[in-house]
Parts: sequence; C-alpha cells; structure tokens
Amino acid sequence: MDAETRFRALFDSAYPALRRYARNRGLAGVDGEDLVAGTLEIAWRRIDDVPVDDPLPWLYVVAHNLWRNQTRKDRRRSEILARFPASPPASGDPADLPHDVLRAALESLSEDDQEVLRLIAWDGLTPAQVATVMGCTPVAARSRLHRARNRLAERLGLDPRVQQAGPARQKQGDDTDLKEVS
Amino acid sequence: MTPLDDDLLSALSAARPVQQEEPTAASPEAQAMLTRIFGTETVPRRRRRRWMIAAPAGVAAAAAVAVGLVWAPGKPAPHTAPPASPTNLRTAVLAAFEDASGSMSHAVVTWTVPGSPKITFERWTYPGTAKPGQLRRIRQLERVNGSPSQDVETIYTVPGGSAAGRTKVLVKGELIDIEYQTRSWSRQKNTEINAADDAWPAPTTPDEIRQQIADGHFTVKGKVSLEGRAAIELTWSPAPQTVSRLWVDAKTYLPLKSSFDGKAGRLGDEYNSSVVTVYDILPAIDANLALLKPPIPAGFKETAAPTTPAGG
Repeated sequence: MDAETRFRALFDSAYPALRRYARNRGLAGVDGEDLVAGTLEIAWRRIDDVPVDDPLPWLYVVAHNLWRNQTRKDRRRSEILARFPASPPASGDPADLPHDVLRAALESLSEDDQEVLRLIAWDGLTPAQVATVMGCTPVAARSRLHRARNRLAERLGLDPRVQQAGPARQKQGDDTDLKEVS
Repeated sequence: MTPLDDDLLSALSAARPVQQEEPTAASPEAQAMLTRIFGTETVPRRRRRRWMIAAPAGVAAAAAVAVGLVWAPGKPAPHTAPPASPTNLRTAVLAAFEDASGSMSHAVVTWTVPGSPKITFERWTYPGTAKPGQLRRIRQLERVNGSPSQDVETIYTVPGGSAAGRTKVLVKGELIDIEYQTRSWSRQKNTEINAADDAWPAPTTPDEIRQQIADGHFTVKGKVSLEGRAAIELTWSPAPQTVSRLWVDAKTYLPLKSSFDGKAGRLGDEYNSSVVTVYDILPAIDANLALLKPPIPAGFKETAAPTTPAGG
C-alpha cells in the first residue's frame, strides 16, 4: 500500500475521533479545525512512523502536544478556578452533580490530571492507550488516573476514598482496572 | 471493572461536551483539509526534527485571562454628529479606533461569579491597537479580593496576519512576571509569548471589539446616559444565552465601557460569568508609559522562571 492510500484510510478513520478530541477540549470552529489539521499533517509527514495496528494513541500524542501549546494561556485561568472548591451534592452521588460543576472541577485540576481524565471519560481510551498518549507505562497510567480521580473528588467536596460501582459495565480485565498501583 | 464503572468517572463521562453533529471524513471541510495536507511533503526520516515547541510557563501567565483591555486616544476623534445608521456608526467607531491607535489604553476589568472572590484585572496597553511590526507593551495586574496576585509585563513585536479568532500566535519577546503568592519575580528574555487575542469570555480588547464592529454583528440600542456621559449602546450575543454590551462615547465614538453577561452560574463554563470593563483614556506621555513597568516589591526573590502559585 503506498503512502497516499494508507494516509487516506487513516484520515477517514481518525478524522471523526480527532474532531471529537478537539471538541472535548473546548476547541470548536477554527481552533478545532487547526488542531485536527495540524495533527493529521504531522501524521502525513511522518506516515512511516504511524503505527498500523492502533494509530489513534499515536495521533492523540501529537494532538495532545499541539493542544497543550495551543491552550497554555488558559493555565492561568485554571489556577484561578482552583481557588473555588465546589459544594458536594446533598446525596453524595456524583451523578447528581450538574454537568457544568463537573466540568468546572475538571478545569481546576492540573493539565496532566485533566488530560488523563478526559482521555478515559471523554475520549474512551483504555488505560493502556492512555499510557501511550502520556508516554508512561500502563501501571503509571492507572496510578495517574487514580490520583487524578481522587483530586477531582476532593475538588467536588466528595470523599475520594468512596468509590462506588456505577452503571453496570461487564468488561473485565486487569488492564482497565482503576485500582491504585504504587 | 472498567474505569467508567466508577461513579465519579461515569458522571464525568456524562458531562462530556455535546457534539453539535457527528463529524465525518466525507464532509466538505474534511475533504478540503485532506487536499491541503496532500499539498505538503512528507519528511524523509533523516531530515526530521523535533516539531514541538516548549513554551515557558510564564507565557501562560502573560497572555492568559486577558479579559479586558483598554483604550486611550491621544486626541478626540473628529466625529461629532451622531451617525444615523448602524453602517454610519460602524464607520465612525472604526475611524475613532484608528485615530486612537497610537495612544495608550487602560482598562479595569471586574470578573464576577456569585459566591466567589472578587477578581479584577487592570491592564495597560501601548499602543492601544498595534500594527504588524510595531513593538507592543502590555502590563496586566491581577487582584483577588483587592490584593495583588500577579503582575506581568510583556513586550513583543506584533506579528503579521490577523490574530482574530485564534488562540495561538507565538512570538518571541520579553516577559517580566511578578508572583505575589510566592513573593518572587522573573525576567525572561527572548521567550515565547502568545500574541493572540483572547476572546474569553467575550470580545473586550480593542482589537476584538473593533473586529466585532467591523463584522457588523451588533445592534444599536440607541443613545443613553452612562454615568452622566452621552453614550451610544451597542449589543451583540457572542454565544447563546449571553449578551455583550458596549457603550461608546456619543461624540468621540471611543469605548467607555463594556459588559458581558452569561447565564448566572458557576465558574468553569467560560460563558457563565459576568465581566465589566471600564475603559480609560491615557495620553501616551512618559508619566503614563511608566505605568507599563510593574514595580517589583521589596523582598521579592528573583527566579530564573516563574514559580507556580499555590493551588495552581
């Protein structure tokens, strides 16, 4: 398969995912398009380096780095947001929290904490794929996720130690376990 | 058990931003993008370089939270008759902006969120609107509940091309960052600065306001009295459930005040807040230009790079 044919196939499969990635990070319109185009342009230029079997994590690494540069100026806003913890829901159930409160709490975390949570909760990656994106081992990725999740809970006024079972998801496997690894 | 079996992560997943429509690679925008990408060449392995640029942390502080700006004409704009139509008003306001472009601008921005500390930004900019190639100096002093928390000066040459609507226009420049929480300061020469306009949460800089006016996306509400001054009120909606208002002087057509009102709510959603910016006019004389340089408080320690404030 020549490079152009391969890239066309990659483009068709990755474009929707990258647009969602951009949207999940608040990038719409021109900014979102810039991020997707920048990511795919690098993929085209480095097509030989793009993994054939599972290219998405590789593309997310590129998008993640581009996005971090693009939004560094928002860091200061996050610092301000971090000063205002939210009120916990009376029921203690995170599902009762308004979505804007959850997003506000997420924004108040560090960039790395935000990203690991977004990759899991919004982009649907497994901890193993997150490890590729964040340049760490799967064990470290699970550990980062655990810590980020607890910091999010603290920011929301929830007890970080309480980890209730959510909607039934039957998938099993150590690779997706949220258990702290230290 | 998957991570999303956890209640909190499940709730966070449900709070994911809503996609307006499912993106598809067959869309005209996607196909145009594909054509553009094929217009670039692949890079042979041996010539590849690292493509990432690591911007210093201070850049964020310098360019962030740019909620407001300033305005200051060196002379009153020569427009005295109220324009009769939005088109005439647009012409008059743009002409006034042009007349004032060489002046120093000053603004005080108040950011209000119910139940949160009062945050204000005071910003000095010279020149008020700069052309490509011009040296621009901006100082922004942030206060929380009246106490300074950060004071930053950035100096850079304005790049060519429009920054309107973009969040990243990196240029080389100089930055002085004073962090009150850590009682430290740093001077970074030849560092990267984001020269993009920051339209968060609504257009409030002269360039952004000028762009909104130039685009004609406003409604003329009419002549009003603003704290005893004759003003013309304009409104537009930068996002659903939001309103931006701008009052321009009825004689000079320069900005006096602007406001942004999102739906009452919490921090986090950038549109859920209220921002009021009061514009001031400062002639570009030495005494005013001296205000661009942030004073370094006694006892503050110089660092090589800005330290991150606690809680950041």
